[in-house]
Amino acid sequence: MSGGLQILLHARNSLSASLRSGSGVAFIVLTMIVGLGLASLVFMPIESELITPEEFKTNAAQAVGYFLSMATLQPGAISSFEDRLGSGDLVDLAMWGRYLVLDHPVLLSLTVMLLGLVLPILLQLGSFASISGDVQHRSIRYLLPRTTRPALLLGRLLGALILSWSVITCLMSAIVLYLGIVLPLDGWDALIPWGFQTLGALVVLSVPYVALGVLCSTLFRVPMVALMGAVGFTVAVPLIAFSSRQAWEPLGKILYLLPWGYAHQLLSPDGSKVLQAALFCLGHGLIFTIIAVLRLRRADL
Amino acid sequence: MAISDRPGGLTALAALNGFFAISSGFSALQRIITSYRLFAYQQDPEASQSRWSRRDLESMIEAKVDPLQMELLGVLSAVVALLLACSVWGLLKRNRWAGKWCSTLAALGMASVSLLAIQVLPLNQLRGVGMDLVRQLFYPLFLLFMVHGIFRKDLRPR
Repeated sequence: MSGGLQILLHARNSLSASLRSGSGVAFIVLTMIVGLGLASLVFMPIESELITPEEFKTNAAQAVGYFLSMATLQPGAISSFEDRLGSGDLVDLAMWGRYLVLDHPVLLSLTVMLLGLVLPILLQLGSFASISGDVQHRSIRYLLPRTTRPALLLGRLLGALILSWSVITCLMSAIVLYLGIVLPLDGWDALIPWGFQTLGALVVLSVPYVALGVLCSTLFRVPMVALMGAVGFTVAVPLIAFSSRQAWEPLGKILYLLPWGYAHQLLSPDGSKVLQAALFCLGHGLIFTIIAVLRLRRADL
Repeated sequence: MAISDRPGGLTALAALNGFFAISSGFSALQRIITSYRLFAYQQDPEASQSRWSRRDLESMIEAKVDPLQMELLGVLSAVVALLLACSVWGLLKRNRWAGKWCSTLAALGMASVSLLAIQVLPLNQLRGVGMDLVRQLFYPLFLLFMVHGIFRKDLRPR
């Protein structure tokens, strides 16, 4: 059997095994409930009529401006951001905020921005047991005589990616349908293209994090340790980067160990920056996959 | 030690059903107690001792909450909690009736309770409106999909 067919076969088996496994069920339920909960949190002020849509957009513009300035600019006091925003120094950021809040459905933009912060952690649940589960139970020994290690790993990675993409697509479909039917602030002609664009951003963003989960799954023999390693690394990178760059600015570059440093560019109004960020995400995923393949090839199973 | 061949997903579903059973049970208890307090308040408003509970009851009376409907909602929640508790055992034992059909009835009951609550409860008492309702309806739909789709063969008669 050719390598490509083997990978597809492993992906299909991995997908069906994930749906029947505890970690897969936990991943689907948690991702959907947390995602819908975040959307509910964003929609609540308008749904409860605590605020008018116009006021909401004004407040959202400020919040998005702060978020983008925090994500884009180098460290500095909050007041200096305000000064720079006031002086018109940050016109690009203001245009970006306008693009997300005024030019496109604001509720969808805010939900996707929040999902971009939470999904990296949740995605690890769908991939942490890809290899380590079989290694722990030693069932991988029965698979290896019939296939190659790289084909097994790539198949499992593809299966985890398809599961993650399916869950993200279901989540985004539910949110877009709800926004179109129940909260018609923006018409379908605005919602559908922006829905596809944000879905694409989340799909691309998921690649490096799922690959990281699979990498940790090859590094650790116990699935729970792999999960803790993947989640710990995902959370620790921004925390360490933000705290250590106060001491010495170049340490802030630690942020680029994962897509935290550039993932927000996936929602940029500039198409070339979106493409660049997408390529960086795929590159990150590729690096993690290559390390995982090298590690699995040499592992004593 | 014997190794179980039960899929991990069934164990996870059983654990989730257990969690939702406890949540439904508490919700049922709260609704039934509130309905009795509402009955008592309608009979004799002075009998209600706590100032806070009286304010709460007055707001419900203002919102035209029917104590009987509230009680029925509580009873329905209790039935859902019982069905979910049965389904926990059924899923763990891979029993067709307790696992598959109790889960199905519980899922339909959970969805019905969420939808009926909109008709019965005032807005300030509702936990599921708007997008939150969609979130509440997700688990029953997912449970139906898993029990009738993914675990169909695991829960058939053996």
